[in-house]
Amino acid sequence: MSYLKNFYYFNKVIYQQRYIIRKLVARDFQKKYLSTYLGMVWAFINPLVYILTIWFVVSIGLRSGEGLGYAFLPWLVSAMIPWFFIRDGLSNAAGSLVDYSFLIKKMYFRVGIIPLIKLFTVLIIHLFMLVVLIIIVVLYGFYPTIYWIQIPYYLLCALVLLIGMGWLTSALMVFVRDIKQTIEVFNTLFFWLTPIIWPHEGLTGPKRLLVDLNPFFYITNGYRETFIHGKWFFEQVNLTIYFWCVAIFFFVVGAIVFQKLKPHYADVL
Amino acid sequence: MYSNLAISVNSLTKIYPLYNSPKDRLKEALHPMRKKYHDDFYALRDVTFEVEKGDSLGIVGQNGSGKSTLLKILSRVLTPSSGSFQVSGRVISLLELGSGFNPELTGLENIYFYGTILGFTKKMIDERLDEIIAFADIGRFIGQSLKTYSSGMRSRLAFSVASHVDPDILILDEVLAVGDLRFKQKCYRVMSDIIEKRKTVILVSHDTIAITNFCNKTLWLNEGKIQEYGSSSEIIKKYVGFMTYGLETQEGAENDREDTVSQSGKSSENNSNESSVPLEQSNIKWTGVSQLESFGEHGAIIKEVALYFKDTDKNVDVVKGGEWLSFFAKIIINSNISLPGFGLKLKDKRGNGVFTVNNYLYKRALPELKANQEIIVKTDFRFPLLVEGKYSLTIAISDGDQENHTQHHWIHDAIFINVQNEEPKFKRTGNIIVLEENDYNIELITV
Repeated sequence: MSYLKNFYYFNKVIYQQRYIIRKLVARDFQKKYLSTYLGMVWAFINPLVYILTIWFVVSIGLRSGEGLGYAFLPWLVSAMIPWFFIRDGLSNAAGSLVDYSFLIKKMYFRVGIIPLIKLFTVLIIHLFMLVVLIIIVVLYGFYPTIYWIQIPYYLLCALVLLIGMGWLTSALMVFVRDIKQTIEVFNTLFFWLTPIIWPHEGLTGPKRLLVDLNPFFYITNGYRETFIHGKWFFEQVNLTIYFWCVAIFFFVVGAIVFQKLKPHYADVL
Repeated sequence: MYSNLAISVNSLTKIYPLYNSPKDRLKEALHPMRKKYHDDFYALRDVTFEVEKGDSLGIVGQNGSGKSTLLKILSRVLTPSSGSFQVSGRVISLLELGSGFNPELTGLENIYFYGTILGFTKKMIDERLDEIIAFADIGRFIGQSLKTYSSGMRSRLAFSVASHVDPDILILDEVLAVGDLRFKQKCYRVMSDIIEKRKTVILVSHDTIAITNFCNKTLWLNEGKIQEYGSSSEIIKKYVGFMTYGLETQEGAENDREDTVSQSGKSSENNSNESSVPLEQSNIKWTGVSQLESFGEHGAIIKEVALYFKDTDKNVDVVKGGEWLSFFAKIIINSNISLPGFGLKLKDKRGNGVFTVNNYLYKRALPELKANQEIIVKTDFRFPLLVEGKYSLTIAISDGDQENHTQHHWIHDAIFINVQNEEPKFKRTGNIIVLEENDYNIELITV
C-alpha cells in the first residue's frame, strides 16, 4: 500500500515540477546541439547513417535480406528506431546524476526526477524518429492500420523498463564510474544479440529461449509486428506477462536502490 | 517540538570516510569481513542547539570548522551520519553563489526555474515577479543569459528570489560577501523584515561586525564542535580574540562588572560639584579588572583601571562629549618588555569600533619595562562628540610594533562610559558621531 502511495506521490511531484522538467529537458537539448551549426539535425543524422550503413552492408555487401518476404529497409527501420530509443535511454539515464550534480550538491532537489529528465530528452528525439519511421514504411506501401494504435503501449513498455534501469544504473554510477563503460559494452552486445538486423523466426529450442528472455526483444519486435506484420501484443500472452514481470522487477529494484543510496549522493559527487 | 522553536538540532554528527586511494573504497565495499580501510573525519561532532522563531543566528568559525556542512544538513542536501534535527516550516537556503541557477537561461527564466525548484508554482512566482526584479535591480541584464552576469549580479538575483518566496527559515552561506555596500544594506533590511515576522535567518559570515549587528545569537564552531553558543556580542568578542591572537578568552564575571559600573556611577554623582581639585596619585579610586573577559600571554597584567576628567579628581561615568579625559591603568610587569605598547579602543554598544589610540599608531615611544614591577600608565584623550548611549573602553598592553606584537593582556570592555547630552543632535540613534559646531556650515546662496 505504501508503495502505491509513493508511486502516486511521485507522479504528483512530476506534475508539480513540470516547469523545471521542461526547462531541464530544453537545457539538455541546448547543451547537446545548440553550439553546433546543424543543431538538432545531428540528432537524426547519426541514427539514419547507422541505418543506411547496415542496410548497405546487409543487402548490397552480403546480398541477403531478400528471404524475409518483406522489403528489407522498412523491416530494419521498424526495429532499429525503438532500439536507438533503448540504447540512448540507457546510456543517458545512467550518467544523469553525475551530469546534474549541481542540483544535488548545492540545494534540496527531488533527485528521483533527474534520470527522467534524460529519458524525456531521449523520448522527444524518439518521437521525431517515429515520424521518420512512419514516412519510410508508408513509402514502402505499409499504410496505417488499426495495429498502429498499440504504439503508445510499446512506448509505455519501453519507458517503464528504462525508468527502472535508469534509477538503478544512475545510482550505482555515482559510486562506480565504470558503469558508464559497462553500459556501452552491454549496448553493443545487446544490439547484436537482439533480433534487430536478423530475423528471429525459425529459431527453436534454447536459441529461441535466449531471444525470448531478452526484454528488449519484446519492444523492438513489438514495433516490427505493429508496422510490418500486423499483430496485437496480446496475441503473445506469455511474452507479455514475462516482459511486465521483468519491467516491474527493474522498476521496483531501481526505486529501492535509488532510494537507499540517496543520502550518499551529495557526499560522493 | 515546541511551537516557538524554529530549529532544534540534537547531537548531530557528520562523518566523512577518508580513503588513502580510490582503490581502498572499493576494497572496503567488497571485503567479505567488512574490514575498514578508511579513517573517519568528523566534519561535525555531537552538535546540539536550538533556535527560537524570530531569532537570527550567526555562525562563525575557521575554514573547515563545519559551518557549511551544518547548513547543508539543515537544508537537507546532506544526510547526517547520526543525530537528528527538526526544522519548522519552509527552509530556503542560498548555499553557494548561483547554486540552482541555470547558466544557459536568462535572468527572467532563472527566476521561474529557481522559484520552481524552491517549490513554487508559476502563478505564485508571477505574483511576485515585479518585486523580485525590482529588488535585484540588475537593469536590462534580466533578459540576458546568466553566463553574462557578474558574480555580484548573480548573488543579487539569487537573494532576491530567495527572500521573496516567504521563507520560514532563510539560510545564507557567505552569499552577501560579493554584493556591494548598497545591496548589502538592502539585504539586511529585508532580513530584518523577515525576522520581525517571527521567521528565522541563519547567516554564515566571516564579517563579524555584520554578525554582531544583525544576529542576536551566534554559534561558534571549531573543528566540528560547538565552541560557544550564546548572545552575539559575547561570542564574537571571544571569537575575534581567538582568531586574532589564537588565545582563549577567559570568562568574565558578568555580575561583578555591572556592579563596578554602577559604583563608579555613584562616585561620579558624589563628585559632581564644580570644584576641580588636582588629582593626587594616591587618591585614585581604582576599579579592579581581573574578573573581566581577557586574553593574552600575561607577560604583563592589567590589574586596575580608573577614568577621570583630566586634571581633576572627578571620576567619569557620564560624559557630554568633547571633554578631556585621563585613563589610568595599574599594570604588573612579569617579564621584560622592550617595546611596550598600550592602547585603548572605544566601542559602541553593538561592538562597532569608534576609535583606537595607542602609542604605536601615534608614534609615542614608551621606555623599556623591566620585569617584576608595578607601573601606572596614564592616557589623556579628548572624548569625541558621540550620539547618546553606552560605550565601552577595551584596553591592551603588548610588546612589539603595530604590525607585529605579542599581546600580553587584552581586556574587553574594561570600563563603560555613558554619553548623555540634552541637545537633540546627540539623540539621533543609528548614527555614531556628532559633528562639532565648527565642522558644519549652511547658507542660502541666492542665484
